[in-house]
Amino acid sequence: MSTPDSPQDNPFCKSKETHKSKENAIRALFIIATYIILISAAFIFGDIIAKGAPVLMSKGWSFIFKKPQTLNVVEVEKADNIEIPEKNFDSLIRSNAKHSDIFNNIKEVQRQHQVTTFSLSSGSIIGEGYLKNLEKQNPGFYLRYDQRDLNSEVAFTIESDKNITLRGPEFAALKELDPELIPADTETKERNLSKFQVTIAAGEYPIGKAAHDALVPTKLIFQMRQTFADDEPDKINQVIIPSTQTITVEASVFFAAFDEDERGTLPITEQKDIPNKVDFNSFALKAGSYSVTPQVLAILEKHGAASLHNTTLGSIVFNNEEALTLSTPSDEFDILKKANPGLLISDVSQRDVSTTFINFSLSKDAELRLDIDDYEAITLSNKESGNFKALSEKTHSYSGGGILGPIAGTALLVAICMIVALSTGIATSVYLNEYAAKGKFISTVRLAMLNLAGVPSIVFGLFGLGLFVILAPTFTSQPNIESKLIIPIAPLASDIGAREVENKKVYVAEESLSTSEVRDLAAANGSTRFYDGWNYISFQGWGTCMLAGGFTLAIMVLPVIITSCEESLSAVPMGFREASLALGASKWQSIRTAVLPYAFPGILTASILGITRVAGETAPIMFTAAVAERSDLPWQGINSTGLDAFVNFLQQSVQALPYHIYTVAGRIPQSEYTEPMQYGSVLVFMMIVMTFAGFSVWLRIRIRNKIKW
Amino acid sequence: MKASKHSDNKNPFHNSKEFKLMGIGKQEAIRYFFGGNATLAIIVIAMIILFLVYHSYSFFPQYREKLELYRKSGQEFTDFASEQLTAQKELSSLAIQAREYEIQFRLGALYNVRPIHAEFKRETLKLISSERKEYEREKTRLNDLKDDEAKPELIAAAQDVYEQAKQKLEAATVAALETLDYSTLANKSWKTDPQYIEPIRASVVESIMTGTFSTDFVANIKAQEDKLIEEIDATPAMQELAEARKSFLAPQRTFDKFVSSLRKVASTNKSQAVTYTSAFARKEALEKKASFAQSDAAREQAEIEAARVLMVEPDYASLNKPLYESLPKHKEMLAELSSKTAEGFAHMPDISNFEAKVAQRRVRQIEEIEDSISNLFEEKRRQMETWDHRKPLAMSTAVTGFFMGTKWVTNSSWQDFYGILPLLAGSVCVAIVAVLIAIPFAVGGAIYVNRLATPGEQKFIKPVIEFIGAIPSIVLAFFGVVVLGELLQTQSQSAFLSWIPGFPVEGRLTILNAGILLAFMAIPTIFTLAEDALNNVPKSFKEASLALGATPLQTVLHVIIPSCASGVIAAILLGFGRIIGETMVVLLVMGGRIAIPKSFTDPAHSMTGILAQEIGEVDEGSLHWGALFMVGLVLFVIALSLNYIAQTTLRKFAKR
Repeated sequence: MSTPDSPQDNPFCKSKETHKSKENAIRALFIIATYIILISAAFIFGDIIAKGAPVLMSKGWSFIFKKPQTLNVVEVEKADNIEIPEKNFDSLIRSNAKHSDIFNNIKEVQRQHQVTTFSLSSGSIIGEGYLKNLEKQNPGFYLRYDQRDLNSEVAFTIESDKNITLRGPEFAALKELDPELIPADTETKERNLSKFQVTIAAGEYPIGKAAHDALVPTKLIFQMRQTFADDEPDKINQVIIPSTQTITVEASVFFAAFDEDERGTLPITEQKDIPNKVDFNSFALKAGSYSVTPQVLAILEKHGAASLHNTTLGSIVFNNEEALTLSTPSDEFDILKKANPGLLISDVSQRDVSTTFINFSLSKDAELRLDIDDYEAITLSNKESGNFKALSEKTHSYSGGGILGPIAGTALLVAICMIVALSTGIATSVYLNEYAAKGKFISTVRLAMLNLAGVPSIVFGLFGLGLFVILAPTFTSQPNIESKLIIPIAPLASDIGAREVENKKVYVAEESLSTSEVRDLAAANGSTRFYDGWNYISFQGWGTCMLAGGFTLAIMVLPVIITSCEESLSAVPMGFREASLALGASKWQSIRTAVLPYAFPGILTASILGITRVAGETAPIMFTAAVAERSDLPWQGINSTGLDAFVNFLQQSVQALPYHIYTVAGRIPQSEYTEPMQYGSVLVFMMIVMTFAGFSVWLRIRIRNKIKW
Repeated sequence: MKASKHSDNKNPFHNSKEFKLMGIGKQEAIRYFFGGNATLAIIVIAMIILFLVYHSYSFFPQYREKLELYRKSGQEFTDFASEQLTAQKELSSLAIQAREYEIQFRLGALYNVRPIHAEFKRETLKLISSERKEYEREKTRLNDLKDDEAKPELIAAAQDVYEQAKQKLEAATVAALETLDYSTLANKSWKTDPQYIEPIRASVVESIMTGTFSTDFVANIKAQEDKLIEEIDATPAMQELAEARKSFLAPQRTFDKFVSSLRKVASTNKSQAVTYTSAFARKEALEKKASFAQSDAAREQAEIEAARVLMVEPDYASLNKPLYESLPKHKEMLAELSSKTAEGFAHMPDISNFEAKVAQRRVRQIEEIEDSISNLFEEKRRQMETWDHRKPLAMSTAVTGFFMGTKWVTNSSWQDFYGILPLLAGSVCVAIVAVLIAIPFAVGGAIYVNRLATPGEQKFIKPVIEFIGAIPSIVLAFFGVVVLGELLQTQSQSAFLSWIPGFPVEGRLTILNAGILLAFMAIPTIFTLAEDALNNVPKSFKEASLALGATPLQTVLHVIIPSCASGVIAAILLGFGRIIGETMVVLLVMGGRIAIPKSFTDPAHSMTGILAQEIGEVDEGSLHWGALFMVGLVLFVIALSLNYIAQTTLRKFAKR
């Protein structure tokens, strides 16, 4: 206690007045420091809410339930009777809420079109393009065919009479394959296409790019000192001819590579013309439908017979067990029937389908913002009337639609991550808290955990890339040829459909070959995978997929989960365990019945804390899981069944909300049109993450206050 | 209680026949399962190190090979000359910028009148497009009628409609302009003056109604500008500057030609060298392809292609001959370059002649270059004279080239360089800025909340700050791109902040911007840990201090803080560690310029940012891939050592 008359003796007390004001000033500084933090947080939240909320208000639920799309900004001339399908109209109005007063005379109209429904039985034969069309028109229909047919007839249609000119050998082949097709009045002309036999002496010469390119398909052996770049057509490089050679070339090559007058051509020591007479046969093909063999179509295709058949691989044979019921617009059905004589069609029925359209007028020229699907719908439905006149058109990627894909992707990533992290995290914390005695092992584990907590998140991303994306083992019957290690398991692989072979570029090998031979063979054939009837464990990585991303995130969040789980376990009083053990319970029984249930609230908090951390992370998923663009949702478009479907589901890349924000905020050009998407997705993201964060903060406070043993 | 004899059956927990396999029963199995999970942390740490090392260990040998090729092909020689030129070119561009900024500053609001006029016109046209089209339509119709010499009453009617459309257009234009203001401008950093706004609006109306591009007002402004610029250029300082610029520019053309002739030789050499290095692999691949070919034609083609691969090493001595022979010419040209440059420096006016801070900055940079450029010229010349393409490259060159290299150039058609220094500098610089900003707020806040605040405030502030810690970094990055950058740029123009070095800020995306956001991210970490440290100070310290007559604040400042200083320092170190490993903010907000930053308001790049930006597009196993994993390794080591130091400090503190 200081006495009033000796202030100097007190080391703390100098003069009361200055001391007081100084004290107040410092206190004020502390208060300002504290509250500036809170005010800046309020500013950030305020800005995002102020600009994001109007976006959510105007776009409504469609912002959550639509996929991200390209936004088309279209300047439209004012017009009456513009039509748009009903379901697109709502989104059109919502995207253009700012000037909704220009849409007038809104009325509903019904439009009808005919749809044909028919059945196809097994053994039907169809052209590749026609099958793809059918699959597009019938959602859920995917034919896993295992056979192609090169023998059965295909058909094509010629709209108007056509003159076709064929060279001699081709004409002869056609005549032999299908003599009826060729009319009697065929005109034959003979032309001389000379070939040249040239001799080039050994030596080193300058050569131009044109001459070089002409020589590549010939049999001349030449060696380049340096290769030509695509962007320097006038460059002259040195070429070495290692030995004197004589080759035969066609006229076009000759004039490009050996013509003396040109720059950058090679000198020749000897030259000989070889006459080469070629017949050109012309005939007229009348308009109409023709049913021919695929080989005939292959010849005619090069001369203008259009069809959707694949003449090199052949038609596709239906292998469905029961008859398939499909539908297609009636006009397309006729084309389909005509072009595919091998289709076994039955039960044909027609019905009218009416669709509701909205008819409206634009009262003045306007700049409309249209999501790409709305834009396509509106241009399609006004194609005939021509009422929708776009004067100019600009596209902004990722700026239209909503954020369903990213939300779904983030949810899946978080789910996978939490399943992995919680199971190992709880097990670890139980061991650390219940079983482990103090010792070297435990201190090492704790040290590792402390260090793990300090590793930058992008390094976890690198780790995930190195381990899960390019190295992790998978169980497969079609291993990648670039796999790091392939271990055969059993020759039990199920048969692989022809379609899978074509889609995934699988090389189908015989069983007798060794793995390394098969790999070489597949590589030489340009395939990326091979199949030989065996199942393998292949260390080829999982690719950029949600599984890899989930595991990476799980590893990142592990220290957080372990630490907080352990905290909650150690908060359970020792007496609980002792009482349980005293009753004769085994260690595991007492943990299960007397410890874990009471630690449950703490574990819940840990998991919510983990979700908060994980959902907000961008860096670890950037190259392990996330993609910017994806046209369908994760559970759509999986064309396999059973376990394969599940594996395929997990092995696909996903959109993720934080990555989507990164894309719209940092990777596309900024403009006023992208702003709604930016603020909308940031606000939704904030709401999701901050709800979890608030929940975890609240839970922690509650546990701290309430549970006192 | 009485234990029954047959207690085995009655005890619900006891199972008499336990199944055991190799001495491991259920209990042991459970124990080992849990223990196995606990080793995961160790395994993961070990694997992270393993993977980082595995993917980056071949980087240095590969990089050495690449650099050796760079030397053999004469690119190194060419770059010596080209660096001389680049350094010199910097001078002339700085001089031009200095003049430009000075004029911009002296013209003030006048400088931006024409751009604002253009923007207003663009915005107005957008708003009135419908009326304008109608007007155009009527105008064409009227003119068509006149051309066709239609009946006068038809023409008169059309004239009426036309006049109406014209009035409507004018009204719409005026109305549209009313909605436009300086505050609606997209570029907020433009200087404005209220006296111009009405003339601008009137002029836009005139320009739209008459359809002419320029109006009297615009012409007038342009004349004013020209006159002022003429006056400014006529001042002795500016004339001197123009002279200096002329001298700087004079020798550049011929030197440029010289360098590009060297470049041509070197790139031919490089191309031959690269073709040769890949020859063996190509030949082998083609021979393999031939042996596995399915058809005879394919085999023959593959064999021909294999025979076409040239297996002879290029003759570097003769290829590099033109380079060696160019030395005398280079000497001559360099003399010219140095003398003209010196002449330019002699003309440079004094810095005090410039009013604009940004212009002053440019002049200062020129002065800095003046000190070093002759040394640079001399050093590069010496290097060129002693250059020998046969000189072998030591492994240490590759190592120092990475750790000390100031260039990070990738996907270049000339030569890639992987020098980590600019990235490291950016990362460290932004982290320091962030920590310096964060410390006063976080530590001050912790002291206030822990010692001085009322319990009610404590209950409110602590969860809120915890809550702030959960804001995802991408959200902050977005905020930095969209809001904070512009805010900093416009606010830093104000005069009373100009004493701060580096102000006014020249771009939106800078180290400062990123630093502020990172500070905001680090505050919760530092705050929470510092608060814990304050909490751990024994109560007796406080009591003793109060008993001696100290006020609560004195107790805090002189007793509590010193006794928990190491805890606070550990908190700051952990915060620093968190910042240096942060990715999204530095990737989006720091501007992405790969160069060593000179001031904290420059744009820069960072180690985390480069990883995030580039690794997605790199082939596995390439040199670039190795370089990026090497960067990851450096980052990992830095973060780990920071963490280790912080933990050790913390443990020492806890023991005491």
